[in-house]
Amino acid sequence: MGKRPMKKKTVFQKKKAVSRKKKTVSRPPRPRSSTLKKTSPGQAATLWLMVRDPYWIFAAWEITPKDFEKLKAKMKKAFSKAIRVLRVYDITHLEFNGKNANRSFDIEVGKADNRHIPLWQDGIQCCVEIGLKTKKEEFFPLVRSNTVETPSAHPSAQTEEIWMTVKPSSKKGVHQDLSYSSIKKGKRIYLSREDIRRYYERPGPRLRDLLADRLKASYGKRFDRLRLAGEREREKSQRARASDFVHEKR
Amino acid sequence: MKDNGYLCLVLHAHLPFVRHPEEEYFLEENWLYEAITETYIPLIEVFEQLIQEGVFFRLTMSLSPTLVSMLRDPLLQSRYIRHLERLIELSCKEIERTHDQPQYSHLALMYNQRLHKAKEVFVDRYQNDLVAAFKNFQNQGYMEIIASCATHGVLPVLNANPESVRAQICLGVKHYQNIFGCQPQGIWLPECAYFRGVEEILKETGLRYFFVDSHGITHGDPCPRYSIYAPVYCPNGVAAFGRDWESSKQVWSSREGYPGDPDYREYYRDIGYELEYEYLKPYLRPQGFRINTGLKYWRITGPTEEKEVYRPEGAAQKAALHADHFMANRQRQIKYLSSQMDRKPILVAPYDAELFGHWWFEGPLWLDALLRKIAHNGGTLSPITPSEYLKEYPTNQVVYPSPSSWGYKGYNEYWIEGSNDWIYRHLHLAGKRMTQLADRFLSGGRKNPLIQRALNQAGRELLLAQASDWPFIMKSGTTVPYAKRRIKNHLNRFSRIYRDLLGGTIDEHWLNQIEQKDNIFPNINCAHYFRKVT
Repeated sequence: MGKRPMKKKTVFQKKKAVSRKKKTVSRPPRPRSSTLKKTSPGQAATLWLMVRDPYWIFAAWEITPKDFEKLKAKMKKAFSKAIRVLRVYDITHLEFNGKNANRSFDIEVGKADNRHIPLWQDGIQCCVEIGLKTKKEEFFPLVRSNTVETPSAHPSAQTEEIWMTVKPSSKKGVHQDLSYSSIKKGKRIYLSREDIRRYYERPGPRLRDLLADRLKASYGKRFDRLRLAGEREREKSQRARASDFVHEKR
Repeated sequence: MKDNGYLCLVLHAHLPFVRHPEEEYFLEENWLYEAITETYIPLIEVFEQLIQEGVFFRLTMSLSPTLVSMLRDPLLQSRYIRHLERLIELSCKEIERTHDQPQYSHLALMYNQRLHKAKEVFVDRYQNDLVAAFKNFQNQGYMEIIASCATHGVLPVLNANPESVRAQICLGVKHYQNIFGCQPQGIWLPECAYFRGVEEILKETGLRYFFVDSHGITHGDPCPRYSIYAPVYCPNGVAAFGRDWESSKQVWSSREGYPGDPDYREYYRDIGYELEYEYLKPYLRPQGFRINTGLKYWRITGPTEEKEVYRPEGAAQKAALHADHFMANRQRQIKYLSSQMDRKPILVAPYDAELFGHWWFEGPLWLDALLRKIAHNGGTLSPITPSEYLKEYPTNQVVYPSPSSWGYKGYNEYWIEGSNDWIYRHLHLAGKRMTQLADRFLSGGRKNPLIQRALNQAGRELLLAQASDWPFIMKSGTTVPYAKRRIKNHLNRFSRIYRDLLGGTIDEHWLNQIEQKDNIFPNINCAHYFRKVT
C-alpha cells in the first residue's frame, strides 16, 4: 500500500508536484525585495547557538572586523598573525566561568559567519566563544554564545521513580503539586519542590539520599536507630539468601 | 465491556499567515481556500452529523492563531466566497463537458454538490466564520481546543532569544483567550518541538499540558515506567503526553499508511493541469498560470502513470475498512498494555488536520467511521482528551522530557540546515532589537500612541518572520522564492520601524499601510511580550 510520502506534510507541499507539471504560462516575475543587511553600526558583536540534533549544533554570529580590532591592544604583536576560531565548551553540570569547562575544542572559521558543529557526545550542555588564537595557542575571546542543551540520543540509565500529584487548587487557574517517592511499596516519602530541583541539578544528589534527608527531617534522632535497624535487617536477609544458596548447591 | 484504555485523537490545524490585500488575486492565498473547502468544512460536517445522531466522541484540536486570524478576516472571507463561486461555475461546466462520459460526469456532479454544500456551510450556517463552528463543538463538550504559539515558531530554534519564545507562547495564549473566551488547558508546541525550560513559561501562562514525540518521553530522565502510554510530569508539574508511534505510522507512513491505498483519490492529478488551457483559462487567475482546482477524477491505482477513474463508493468502503483496522489494532495495543499497567493506558495520536480531506480526500470519512465505531462497539477503547485523563489520573511519574520534535529524524534538522540556516542571524538580531525597543519605549509614564502602534507593528513583523513555515518551505523546495520574500519583507519592515523609532521619525502613512497588510493580532499589545525576561 502507498506510494506517496505522507510523513509531515503541509498544505503548501503540493507546490512541488505543481512544479513538475508543464506550465503553459509561466508566472510573471515579482519585483525583487531588497536583501537583508547583515550588520549595522553600533551593534554589539553577537553569537547565537542553536541545537540541530543530539550530535550537531549550529552557531551564527554578527561580528565586524572592527570588533576584532578591540582585541588589538590586548594581543599586541600577536594580533596580526592570529586566526579566527570558535572554541566549543562542554559545560555540562557546571557554573561556567570561562576556564572550568569539562573539555573544549577549537574550529578555525576564517571569514565565515556561521558554522554547523559536530559533537562527540549527546545530552550535553555547551556554549561557544569566538575569538582570535595566536601561534602560541593563546586564545582571546571576543564574545560568548548562549548555552544550549543537546538532546539525549538514548533512553536514560536512571530508573529511580518520583511521582507527583497535580490537582487544581481553589485559586482559579493554579494547580498544586505534591511529589513523593517510596522505598517500600506503598510507603510514601514526600519531597519538596526544592528536592525535585536539586534532583535535576546534575550531578545532583541521588534520589536515595534525598529520601534519607526527608526521613531524617521527619524522624530526627530516631532516624539513625531506624536506619541501623534497617541495615541489620538487610544484612540478615542477605545472610539468609546466601545460606539458601549454599543449601541449594549441596 | 469495561473500558481498558483510551485513545486521544489530536488534530493540529495550521496554515501560515497568507493574506495579501496588495493584490486582487494571490496564489498562496489558495492554501487557505483549498484547506477550507477540503478539510475544515468536511470536518465540521462530520462532527455536526455525529452530534446530530447522538454519537459520543471526544477530540482534541489546536487551531493556530495564524489560521484563526485568517478564518476571521473579512477580506479573506469574501475572497474565499469568490473563489468558491468560480469553482462552482467550473464544476457546472464540467458536468456539461462530461455529459457523454458517465464515468466522469458523476464525479463532476459530486464535486458540484460538495462545493454547493461548502458554500451553504460557510455562508448560510456560519456567516463566514468557521471558528464559531469549532467553538460550538468545544462548548457542547465534544472537543477540547488547545492553544498554539503565535505564528508557529519552532521554539528550540528561537530560544537563542528567550524573549521570542515567551512572546510566541504568551501571545498564543492571549489570542486563544480573546477568541474562545476561556483559559486553554493545553498547548500544541509548533512542530511538537520541545526544549527543556519551556515548561516554565507554560506553567506561568496557566497551561497544564503539552505534547512531545515518542522519543521525547522514552529518552526522558529518568526512564519512564509506562513509556508513552501515560503522561509524565515535568519537574514543575506541567504534563507531557507522548505521541504513540504505532497509531501515527498507520496514518502517516508512505508504506503502511492508509492514504496511499490504490482505491483512494489521486491528489496529484488535477484537471487544472490535465485539460486544455483555453477551456480552463476563465478559471485561472488573471496571470493565467495553471493551478490546482480541486477537481480530480482519478484514483491512486498503483505505481503507474496510467491512472484509473476514481470510484467514490469503493473509496468510502475502503475508508470504513481502514477505520476497522485502525480500531482493532488500537484495541490489541490497549489489551496488552492494560495488563502491564496499574492504570488505563492512553494512546495519543496527533495528526495535521490538513491531512484529512486535503491530502487524504477520504480522511474525513475515515475519521467519521472511526469515531462511530469507537462510540458503538469500542469495547476496550474510549475516546478521551488530555484534561480528562489528568483529572482521572492526577498522579503521574516525574520525568524530564528530552528535547525533540516530530520533524525529520526527530529533532530540528529540517529547520536548521544548508538551505535555511541563513535566516537565524536575522531573526535573532531582530529579536534582540525588539526587546531593546520594548524595554526602552514601554517603560515610563506617558505613552505616545504613534510609538505604541509602531512598536506593536514591529512585534507583528517579527512574529510573522519567525513562522516555522518559511524554513520548512526552503528545505522542502516547494515555493522557495515566496518563503524567502516573506522573511525578507517582514524583517525589512521590522528594521525600518526599528530605525524610525530610534531616530524619532515614524512615517505614519507607511505605518498605516503595513498595519493594513500585516494585520494579525490587531487587539493585542504585541510589544509587551518581548520585554526582557528578568
